[in-house]
Amino acid sequence: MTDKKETRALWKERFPTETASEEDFTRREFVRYLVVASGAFAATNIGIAAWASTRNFDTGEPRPIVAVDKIPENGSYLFRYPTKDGPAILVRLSNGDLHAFSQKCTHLGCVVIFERDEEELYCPCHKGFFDASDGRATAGPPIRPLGRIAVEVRDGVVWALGAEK
Amino acid sequence: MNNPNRTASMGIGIFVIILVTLQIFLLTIGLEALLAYEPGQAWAAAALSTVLGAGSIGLYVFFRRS
Ligand code: FES
Repeated sequence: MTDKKETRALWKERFPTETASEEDFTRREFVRYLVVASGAFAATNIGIAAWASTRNFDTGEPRPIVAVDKIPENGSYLFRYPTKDGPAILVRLSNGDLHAFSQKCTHLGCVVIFERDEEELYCPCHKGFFDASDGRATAGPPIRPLGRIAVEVRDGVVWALGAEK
Repeated sequence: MNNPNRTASMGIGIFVIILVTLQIFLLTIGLEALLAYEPGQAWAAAALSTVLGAGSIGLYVFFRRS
């Protein structure tokens, strides 16, 4: 029993868990750091909100994408919309319906791919799944749906009419 | 028997944990709103974050006086 106590005391002596400076760290100082940290968080949040207010959503201009017969049934076609930096995917489901979405996963921005067997959009980064008919997040980490792109067939050609949020 | 000093320190510790957790949570809400083009949601997160910031300033003033 005494041995144990001595061992512990020796341990504390050799590896002290308190330093001299710790004693000087007052409660008031601690709260001062807290105020600074909390203020920094608040300022960052205000900055983000201001940035969000200035950001405009680019819906894009209507333009032809591809001829319908070039897209395999139950297949997909990759294109760029609304700008050259915007990867997008056009899917043709087995029932013939055409749907287009931004290819950027709403979790952390990886690109989604079309899963033919399940007819859904899949993000390989963290196994996120989206419904291929409306872009709804169905499984995995994503919560928000994929950005939709309105499409229309004109004279056998699929047109992108505009991106939606 | 409760030691009042210890109880107060624990109270402050819990307050700090809740405050910082909420601030981090609000930051993620703000970033999510930014990505989703939802400025209204981002401003709501910023307002709440400011309220929490003001709360910690209040705590600081309280300690300065006490
Ligand atoms: S980036 Fe798509 S699931 Fe995480």
